[in-house]
Amino acid sequence: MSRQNYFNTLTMAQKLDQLGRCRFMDRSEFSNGVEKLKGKKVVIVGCGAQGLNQGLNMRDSGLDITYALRADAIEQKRVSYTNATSNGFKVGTYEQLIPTADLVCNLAPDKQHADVVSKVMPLMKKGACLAYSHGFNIVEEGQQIRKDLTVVMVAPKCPGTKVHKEYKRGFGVPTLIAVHRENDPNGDGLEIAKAYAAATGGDRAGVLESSFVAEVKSDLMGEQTILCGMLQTGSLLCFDRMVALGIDRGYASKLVQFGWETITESLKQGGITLMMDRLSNPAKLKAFDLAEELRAMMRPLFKKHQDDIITGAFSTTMMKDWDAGDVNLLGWRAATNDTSFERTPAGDVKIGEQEYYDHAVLMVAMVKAGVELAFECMVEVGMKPESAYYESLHETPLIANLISRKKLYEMNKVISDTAEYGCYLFSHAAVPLLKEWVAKQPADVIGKAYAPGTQQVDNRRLLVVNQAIEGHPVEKVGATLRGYMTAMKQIAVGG
Amino acid sequence: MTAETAPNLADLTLAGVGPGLTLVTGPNGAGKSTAARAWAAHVAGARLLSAESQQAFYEAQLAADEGNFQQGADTSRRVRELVGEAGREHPLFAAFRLEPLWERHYRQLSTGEARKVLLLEAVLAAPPLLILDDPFDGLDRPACAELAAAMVHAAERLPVVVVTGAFRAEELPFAPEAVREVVAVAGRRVSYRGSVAGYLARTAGEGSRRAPPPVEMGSWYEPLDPEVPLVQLVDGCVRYGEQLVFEHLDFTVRAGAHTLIEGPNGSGKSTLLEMLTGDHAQAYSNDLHLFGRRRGSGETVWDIKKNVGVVSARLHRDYRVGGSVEEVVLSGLFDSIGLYQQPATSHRARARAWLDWLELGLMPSAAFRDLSFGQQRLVLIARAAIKVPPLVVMDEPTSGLDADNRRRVLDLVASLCTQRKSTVLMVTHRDDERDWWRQHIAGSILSLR
Repeated sequence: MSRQNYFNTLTMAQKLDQLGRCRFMDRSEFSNGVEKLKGKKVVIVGCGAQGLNQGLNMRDSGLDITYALRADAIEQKRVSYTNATSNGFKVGTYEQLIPTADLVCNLAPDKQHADVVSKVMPLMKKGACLAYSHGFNIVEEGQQIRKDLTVVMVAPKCPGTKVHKEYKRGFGVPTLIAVHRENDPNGDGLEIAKAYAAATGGDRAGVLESSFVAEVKSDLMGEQTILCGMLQTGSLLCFDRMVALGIDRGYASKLVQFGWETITESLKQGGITLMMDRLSNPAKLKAFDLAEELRAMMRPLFKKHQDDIITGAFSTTMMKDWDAGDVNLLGWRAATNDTSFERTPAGDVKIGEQEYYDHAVLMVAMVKAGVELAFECMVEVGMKPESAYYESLHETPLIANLISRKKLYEMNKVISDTAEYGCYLFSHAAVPLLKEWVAKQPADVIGKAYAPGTQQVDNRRLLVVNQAIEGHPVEKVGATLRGYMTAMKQIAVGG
Repeated sequence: MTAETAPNLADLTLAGVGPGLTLVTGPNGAGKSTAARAWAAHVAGARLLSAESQQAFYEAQLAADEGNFQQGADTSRRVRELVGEAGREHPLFAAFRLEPLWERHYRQLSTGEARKVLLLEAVLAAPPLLILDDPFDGLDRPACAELAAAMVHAAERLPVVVVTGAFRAEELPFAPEAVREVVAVAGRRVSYRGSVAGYLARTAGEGSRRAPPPVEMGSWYEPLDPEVPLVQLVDGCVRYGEQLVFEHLDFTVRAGAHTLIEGPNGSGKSTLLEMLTGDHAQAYSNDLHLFGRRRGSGETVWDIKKNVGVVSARLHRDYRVGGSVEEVVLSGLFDSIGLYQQPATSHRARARAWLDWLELGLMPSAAFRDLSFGQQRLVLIARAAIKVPPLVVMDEPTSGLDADNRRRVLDLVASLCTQRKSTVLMVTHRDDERDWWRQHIAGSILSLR
């Protein structure tokens, strides 16, 4: 397929308009529930984590769900086939099911989208709807969709398993919805997307109305910089520095592997402010200073990634690698698995929850600098703070959780190929950039408790630093959005 | 011993005790499990097996499961990897009937099956101190007898501590002479140490008067048509790949047809009930009518749940959210795990009445997560009953409860059965509960194989 980056075909005014779309929807906008899709045939293509779990939710909401799989996946009883049938779903081939569908949900892996859509589209009946959970295919590959078809996006901002777990509790996960402006022939795209979001339970946790463009550009930026790139860079550098300082390798490995998750748990609850509050006052001031240095060093790199994403240079480079059989991706993956952090198992030592903060002031500084930079870069190119918040701060704890499971291997395996590619790209630039600076850091900012010459704190400086932390725009929008979530829950019930 | 002079539980030292069987007993919330954790932490290499540790193990398996994110199958460890060839040759392996489970993934085991596997693994490890917190919970009758024998056997070589709710003579699974010492606790202090006979003499005649459950507060929903069966499953079948749970199962429940369900671990009791509560995906691929409507005909799972109150090991396992005990009880009105809707004042009054009935001595604002396993179970039972729904599903409801509280829950079952608004389906492994059912409930018994 010839590719024509969709975003680059827009006028400047259209670009700005699309990038700037993001609106927190009111609960009352979902009063029609799933009505729009009631009695309609919903066919899901792909039965991986997102496909299966979204389908489980929609069926429990009373919708008619079947799975269209490739004939060989059915014949060979591949995992997608087992996933669907063991959960009591009917399965069929594209040819059997797509022509009957009123709504086709394309939940195959990103990389297969072009292929899947080109096979599915000719089979779709006139006036049907095609839905995505990620817009890369539309925006970056420039897939053209038949003009009679409506194209929408419903993107739960969580891993697939959590999508169903939260639904069963009677709640949901925050969800982003959008209608592709080129494909809304009947003007009811938004109604379909809303019903789809309601069927997955997203309306209970909060829905953002956005655009395909804003979703793709913010998602790419978040995943390759703060989410995966920064955490990978920080993991490798912090581990190596601790080893050089003579700290036990097992301890160093454990501090990094589980540190990100522990540190970002407070980020999830109370933003950067709460994360910094978990440090003693002297350590907080030190973390603030380190973060300022990191911000200055990394700002050009973050800006470059944002620029390459906006111009399409990033996706063009990556798609070249797809066409070349993933030679770069596979090489980088092997190199990452061969790093000494990755090869050193976490030691059998106890590290208390507070110790993860106290002994890792540098890691806290990295999270702060990375979240703020990613957020700032996204807002600078015209994205709304709400989009930028979800794609930076909100998702950091989710990725940190993957590292605590099985280190970088697990993270890079679970995230999309697109995120993995971007992560390597970022860390290959960031590791050399920061290496010398990290090599100068003493053990009391990474590996041991912070021990300044004096524990005395200058109140006026503390006041200024606190104001700077709380005053950052990501903290302002974060407080509002987390407040919405709490209001939605009425009584806050932390998962 | 007075309260002032009685040793604090945490100070009770079990380090260095020789082989033998010690029973630690007391009411729910007395601090038994807390003490068990403290002892286990003090003896290097000690092994503690409890509902909590089983839950933690399950979560670790869940976390390790790449299938979780990758589109893969279950990758939790298999039984053969957990117990090894040494386990296969251990007498308990045959006694627990584990052979058919040899290739099974841990996460696919039923509660009782998982308990057996973990028990075998702990016995195999021959630790310097083995603490078993409520080990008989969730085990079928033959397994209980085998386990008791295994503990007596293990106690010949190592110190074995069994933590169990306050018990009566007929409930003791061991011969009294097999028990070296009974340690009774109350209010986080030791109230008695001595022989089984001494303990039983002390507690004889105890058993407080219990208030009746507030079921008269009425059903939450309009009564259903009594002519339409609540449940109608025709030729039911559940399988996971090659593994068959049951097939050709016909099961109809009419209003008022209270049913006790029994059967060995792994016979599909919980699976069957999950089909009726909206918690099993294969309900959609069966010929199943619930409350007069064919499953999968456009109804939502919430349409079903509103007619059902449920308590089970699975619900208890999944109920992992913050919140107060009052909120947990209130969540039963909305069928949610956690509370996401603003309850009305009348809802709160109802929840308070149910909490009062439990006599937990807790503030309604007490954190659910800080409660002991047994106390949590009691709160979840109130959650299941608060709406007095058309169908009440109680899957081993008395699991983890002491003798007094077990009777409290059986009182509730009897009240629900006699006030004619609810139909009760209950699973049990206990002989005494089966006998009780025969004596007190005008219902039937279904045996699964």
